[in-house]
Amino acid sequence: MTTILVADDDPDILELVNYKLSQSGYVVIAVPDGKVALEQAREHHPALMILDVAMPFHSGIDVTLEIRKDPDLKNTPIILLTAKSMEQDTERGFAAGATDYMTKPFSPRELLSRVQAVLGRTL
Amino acid sequence: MRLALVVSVFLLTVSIFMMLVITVIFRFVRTKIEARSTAYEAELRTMLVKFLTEDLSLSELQVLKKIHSSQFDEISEAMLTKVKGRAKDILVSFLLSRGTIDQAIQRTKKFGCLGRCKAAVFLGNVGISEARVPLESMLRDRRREVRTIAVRCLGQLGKPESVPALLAAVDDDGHPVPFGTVLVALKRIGSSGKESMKAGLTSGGGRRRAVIAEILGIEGSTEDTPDLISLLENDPSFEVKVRSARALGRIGSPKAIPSLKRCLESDQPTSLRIVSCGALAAIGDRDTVPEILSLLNDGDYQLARAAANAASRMGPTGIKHLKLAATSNFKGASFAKEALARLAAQAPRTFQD
Amino acid sequence: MSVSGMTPSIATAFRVLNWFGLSYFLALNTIYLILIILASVNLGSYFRRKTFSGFEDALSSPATLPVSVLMPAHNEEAGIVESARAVLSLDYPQMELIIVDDGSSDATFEKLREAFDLVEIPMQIPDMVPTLGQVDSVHIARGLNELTVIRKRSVGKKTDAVNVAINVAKYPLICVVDADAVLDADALIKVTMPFFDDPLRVVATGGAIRPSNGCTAYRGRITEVRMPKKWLAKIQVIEYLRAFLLGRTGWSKLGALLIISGAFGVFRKDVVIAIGGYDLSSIGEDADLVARIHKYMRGLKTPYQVTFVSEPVCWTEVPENLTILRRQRKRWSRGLVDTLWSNKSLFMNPKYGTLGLLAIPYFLFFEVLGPIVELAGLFFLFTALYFGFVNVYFAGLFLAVAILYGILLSILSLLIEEISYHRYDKWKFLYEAVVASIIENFGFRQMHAYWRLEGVVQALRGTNRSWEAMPRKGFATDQSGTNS
Repeated sequence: MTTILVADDDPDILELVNYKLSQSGYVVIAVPDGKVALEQAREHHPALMILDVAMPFHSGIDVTLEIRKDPDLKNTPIILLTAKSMEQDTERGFAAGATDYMTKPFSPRELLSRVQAVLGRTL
Repeated sequence: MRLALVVSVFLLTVSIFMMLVITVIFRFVRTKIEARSTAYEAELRTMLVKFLTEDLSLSELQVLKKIHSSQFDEISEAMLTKVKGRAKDILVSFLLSRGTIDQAIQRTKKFGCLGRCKAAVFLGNVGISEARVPLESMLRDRRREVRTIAVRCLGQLGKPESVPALLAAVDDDGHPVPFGTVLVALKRIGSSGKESMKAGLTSGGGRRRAVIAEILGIEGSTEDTPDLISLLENDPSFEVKVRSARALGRIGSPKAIPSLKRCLESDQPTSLRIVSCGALAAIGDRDTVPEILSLLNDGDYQLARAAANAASRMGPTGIKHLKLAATSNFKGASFAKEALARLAAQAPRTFQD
Repeated sequence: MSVSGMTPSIATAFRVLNWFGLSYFLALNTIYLILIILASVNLGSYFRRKTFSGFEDALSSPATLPVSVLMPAHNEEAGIVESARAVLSLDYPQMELIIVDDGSSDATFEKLREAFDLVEIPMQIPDMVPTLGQVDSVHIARGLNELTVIRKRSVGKKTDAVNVAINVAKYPLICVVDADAVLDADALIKVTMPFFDDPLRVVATGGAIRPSNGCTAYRGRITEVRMPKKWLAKIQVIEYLRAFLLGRTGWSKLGALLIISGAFGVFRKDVVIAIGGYDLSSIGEDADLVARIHKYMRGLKTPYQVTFVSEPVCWTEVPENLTILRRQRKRWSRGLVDTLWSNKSLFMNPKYGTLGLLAIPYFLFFEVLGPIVELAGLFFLFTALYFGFVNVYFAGLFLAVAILYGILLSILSLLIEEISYHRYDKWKFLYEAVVASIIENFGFRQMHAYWRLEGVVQALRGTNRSWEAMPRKGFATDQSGTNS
């Protein structure tokens, strides 16, 4: 079973991603903010993390930086979800060590294929 | 007098008490509604998500009683802005089947300003072409908020056919709309609207040409250079000139160099000179470096600083000339030194480990 | 009223005084009510727009003006890095942060250098606005952060530090922020929205400020809004609610906003430069700057706007002990007198519209003379009571009206906050706020009037002002952020 951690403060998106990935056979840990995301990542060592950029406490970029610093987790692939208007964030996101990114609004199907592609690359 | 005081004391006490009661009731009701709706919402959301990921068909969904509530409409409308692709198509066809979209088109003519705003936002999010005409007529709404929202929603709709209406809105002094919002809308419509935008250059006021110049800088390509050069050289509006100069820099065609160079001359306004400096740096022809650096000795502090920064972005030739200027006894040597120091600080650090 | 015996002339004098007091009081409260009504009209339009705020547009538009955030700092080693990080991570497309280390004797600069990898650069600073203290060095951060740190010698004036920063600022808008202010992530975009909506007219905007005492913060952002523990601070929460509603939103609607708090305001740089920046000799520098902006813009005869954004976006620590609070209020009162005096040409001048005809006279008659009338009123009432000119019943009624009116305004503000922003979500807040609005009238209000009077007296005498340190307590859960 592959575990994926999803963090987003928007319950609609969180639920949509959660459902789509669970239906496709992944174990999903859905969390509402950056702080819980870090705690859960350290506890469960997910195979992949999907992070919203603008979240309370720690932004997706901050979480990425922390994960890359953590010796146990530093190789975890990370997909960032950003609002379209904040495209300059993607630059910072990649600088922080994100593996891939998607802009909102997003297509659930596309997300799934990206997840599969990223996991295929790393496994 | 005493009576007046007694009456005031009484009235004040009563109104304080009433206001307290209203506050408490308000808070109580809000808490109750919030608690109920979050619980209910989670359930509805799960159903919507299932529907969107095609685990629940339309007929299966419509059997469920709970979806026939205004709350379900609300969460489906909220979801519109968050998904695209197949999931969005499903959502739009669902809303069409419920008649929500026709209702919204009706509501664009409603008396209440809030209703009109809501309808416009909804139509912009749905993004069907039937919404274009009602939204365009909202550009002449009597309320500024409504007009602004109509502009934004036409941008979300992204139809090149609405470009003329948007350009007319920029010029309409009777129904002003924020300049920045029109820019974003035109940017969203993108290069498909470019032809109608260029057609708009021949008529209308300065604000319209300023918008067009700005958008051509973002969406344009080298073939738009001649139009922008003629704006830069001949336009009576200073605003338009500055934006054309910046746009020419963004496009980066060397054809613009002679006109931009003319804008560096000392009879031009300072801000145009500053922007032209940056534009020449963006085009990056090394032959222009000496001319840019000659501005280091200009009396204007901001221009000299802009010139030094421009040269620092022009590769090895720029840096070579900057270094020369920094060691010379030019008046502007300090600007060259500053620009070099900034460049050094911004260069990525080489890691030791 | 009942006047018993004594010489008729003294009795008449008291009667006249009473009438004067009562009509003054009525006028003041009528103005308050009008301001509240204006403010609620403003809030109404705010709510219409809230759902369609267009922040997204502003964040992605090429027309959004870049901002230079200016932060003067004097001995702020405890929080400076946190504050700088918080500003640099605000949601805004393009901005730079300029920190002026104004002769700190602590490790303010070293902390910054360590955190942001600062390097010194040679820089010639122009003198577009006048400055006094000598600049020792200019430093910028390596990498992507647009941060400039200026070290200068202090001349004991915050305004001098801000003026240096204005000279260095490269963007068309400047935002002056206190080093200890805690900003919401969307603070800058919300307060610059008026510039985006109407770029040709808006010249200055200010945001609403709330006390941060008692709130929890995490990495430079407020995470939970709570009532402070101390009653003195609780009273100030109510005061701030009322003051921003009464003093700012309403006046802004009338086009006569005079005070943009120094803790968080945004200005068009060219206008600030044109009027010569902050006046280094002014005591009430914030109000003075806005008054001069009004004067300058009215002189140009072009339509302009000074706008107040009523949404709370900036949090600042308020004094929790009487000594410091007294010093602060004395300074405010002195600053107001000073500003009114140095801009006396505005007074009753029809050329300056609502500002000259309404706002300035209001500030003079009610804000400056208010404490005098209030204290004198109390004094006369008690003297009259002592000598038997009025009876206890009348005096009690009179006091009751005054106090109830005060409470009414507080409760009204509370109601408007409840309906509008609703930032305090604990039931306990409501209860404490009501108690605070009541007890405020017994002791605090009179003390405050006295402090303001002291400030007025001091201003008339004229003494210098310098950085006045306030020991910061910081947040209980600053780093750990245990409250999620």
